[in-house]
Amino acid sequence: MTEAELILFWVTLSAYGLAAASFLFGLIRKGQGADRVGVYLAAVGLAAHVAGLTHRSLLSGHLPGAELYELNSLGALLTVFVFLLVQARRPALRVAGSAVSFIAALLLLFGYLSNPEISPLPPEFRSEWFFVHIFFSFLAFACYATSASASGLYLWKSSYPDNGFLKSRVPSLEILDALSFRLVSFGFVFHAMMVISGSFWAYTAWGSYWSWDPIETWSLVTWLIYGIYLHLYLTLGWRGRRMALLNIIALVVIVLNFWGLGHLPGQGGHY
Amino acid sequence: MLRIYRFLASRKTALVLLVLVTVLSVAGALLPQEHLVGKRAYEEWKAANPALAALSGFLGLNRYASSWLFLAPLFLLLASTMACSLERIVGHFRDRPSRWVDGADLRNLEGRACYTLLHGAGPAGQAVEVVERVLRRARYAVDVQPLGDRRYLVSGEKGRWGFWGSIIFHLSFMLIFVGALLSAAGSLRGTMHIVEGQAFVEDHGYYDRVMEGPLFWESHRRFAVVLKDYWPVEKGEYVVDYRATLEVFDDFHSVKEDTVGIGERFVYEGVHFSHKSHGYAVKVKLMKQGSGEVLLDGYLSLAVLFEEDEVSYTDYYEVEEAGLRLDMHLYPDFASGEGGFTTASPFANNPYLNLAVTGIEGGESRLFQGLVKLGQTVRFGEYVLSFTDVRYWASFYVIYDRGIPVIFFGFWVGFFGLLWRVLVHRENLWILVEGGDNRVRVEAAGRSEAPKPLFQEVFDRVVLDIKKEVAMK
Repeated sequence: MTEAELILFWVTLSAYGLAAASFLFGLIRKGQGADRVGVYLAAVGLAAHVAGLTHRSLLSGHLPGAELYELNSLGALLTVFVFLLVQARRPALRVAGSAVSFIAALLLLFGYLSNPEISPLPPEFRSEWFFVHIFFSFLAFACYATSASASGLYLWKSSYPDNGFLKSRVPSLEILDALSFRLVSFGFVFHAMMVISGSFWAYTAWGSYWSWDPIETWSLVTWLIYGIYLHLYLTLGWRGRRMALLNIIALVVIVLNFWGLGHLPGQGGHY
Repeated sequence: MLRIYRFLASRKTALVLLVLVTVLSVAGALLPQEHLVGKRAYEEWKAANPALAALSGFLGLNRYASSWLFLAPLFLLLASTMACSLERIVGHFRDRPSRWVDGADLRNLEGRACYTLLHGAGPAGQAVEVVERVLRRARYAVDVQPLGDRRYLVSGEKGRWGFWGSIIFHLSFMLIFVGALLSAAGSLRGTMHIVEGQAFVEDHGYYDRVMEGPLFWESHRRFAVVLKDYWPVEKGEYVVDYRATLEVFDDFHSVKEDTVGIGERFVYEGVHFSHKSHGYAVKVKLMKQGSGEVLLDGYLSLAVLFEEDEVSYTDYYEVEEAGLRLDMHLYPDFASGEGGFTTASPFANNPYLNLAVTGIEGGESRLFQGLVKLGQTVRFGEYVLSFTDVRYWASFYVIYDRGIPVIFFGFWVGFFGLLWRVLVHRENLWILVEGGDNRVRVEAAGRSEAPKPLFQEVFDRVVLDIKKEVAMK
């Protein structure tokens, strides 16, 4: 890591951390001013983050995705990006900012602790499809994480129907439900692109578009879980708490798939 | 038969099968797969979990992707998906939603409908113009139906073809399935290696290893691939890549030349050569002293072994005519130190061959043991051996998969179908305008495939715009 990248890293991490604190303060003190500050801080963090990853890509000669640090960093960047997009359209969802900024900061720190040094790109990663695969996997994660935040708000709000703060500051239950569905729909499309580009990449790297290795299978499993979620919503008309719960469970499976799979016996995969 | 079709065409059946396939995939992902973890690791797991291993083996979950327990629900799910799609298409044409509704029924529309009633001032004709303008601004295709006696029904429609996105997405699974069948039955996968300057012919006998599907029928292309050049690419202190220049000769004519790095592909006539790894080949000439009879004169490719941080190039070769076995270990950049022989770099700057010659049947008795420098000749017994050259060899995965174009086409079709489904929703708005010279009554209703709360917001925005512009209350 160069000095410039290190400075940008700490600016990003501090901005995300402060944004999480600001959103939390807004949540506790019921202040919209703190939420606005949180948005500005997250945007500053995002700008520094983009600059840091661009600088790193220019140095390494490849797009981010080669090491755990880059993967986590890209995940954090896209999560904040999707959140900022969503809150721009729906300011009422800013209350989810504390969770989203905290997740982003955590991802960034986790990556940094794993090993932030630049290393040469392994041969099997030298495919444009690999970077498409990585980009869409984290874009899907960002949509799912934001959707799960909306589902979390749904569960919270539906548990305290008479809470004045929740009534005034959090979107209606119907809107939260519909937004969760909409974000899962987009995540599902990006997830599909991730699976497709992953199989193109696998084909160029290993000569097989699908080999049922644990990473591939878990990726398919999560896609199928979200497929079930969408069919339950569209076909059977399920709504409400059970869908919110399913959405959160699906996100937990995604998190376990990427960050926990290596710790399960007999598992492993591309990394 | 019809009963089976009805069963499969039920969306609930499809959903249950989807859940079943997901659960089986989870089981398959959690249980060690014999072909992935290797025989030894699998045996160890089996010894540690005898009951689970027995159950997994009995159900075929140790190779679940090819077990009937997994394949049967998968096929049923595919059949169900097709049946459901067919039912939806038939239903779509049978009950095709019209862009027109009865103006009198706006309040009682079925489905995810929104409704509101407005009153305002001004002539009805002017209000219709305003409504048209508002709808066009919101990117609706607008049409006006005069109902007589200063009554007009304005229809706005967008996303008319949204229905087909979902159908295309689901039908793409059939394409992928056909591609997977073609891939499994009519394809070739193999590995081959070529020494710099030498040729590989795309034919069965030239492969190091080859697997052909039952419908491949030895349909090899039989063109020749020459490895013209091979070299490392350095960046600072690292070797970041190795590049190979390949030239294809078909019918003795040079038809294609390209350079590929590690992991990159070279494609000719649908046959993919994926550049995997490399090593060294040593040129050795073995002759009989006196008679000068040449027993061996060619490049011998050495295997690459990785031990911790060290790479070694080693192999053996049997010269059956002479009954000799040559055990070779190459030091590309020879150096000797306290720890013994080693190589200072992976490049052939100072190649030495550590050679041991024994009889094939001779057990431990060694005819020669020692270092041979590039260009050196050694004599043992009645033989003369020369180490005359070192070159790279490059290995490639060769794939001729007839299913790939169909599968990848299916992927793209599915992706665009899905994207279409998510982005395009059919939305219909109907605005009934009626009134006299200075008083107007507007009824607005709408229906969408999008979630109702989100459509309600869109609907409310449109209604608000109409309200503002017609100055209604």
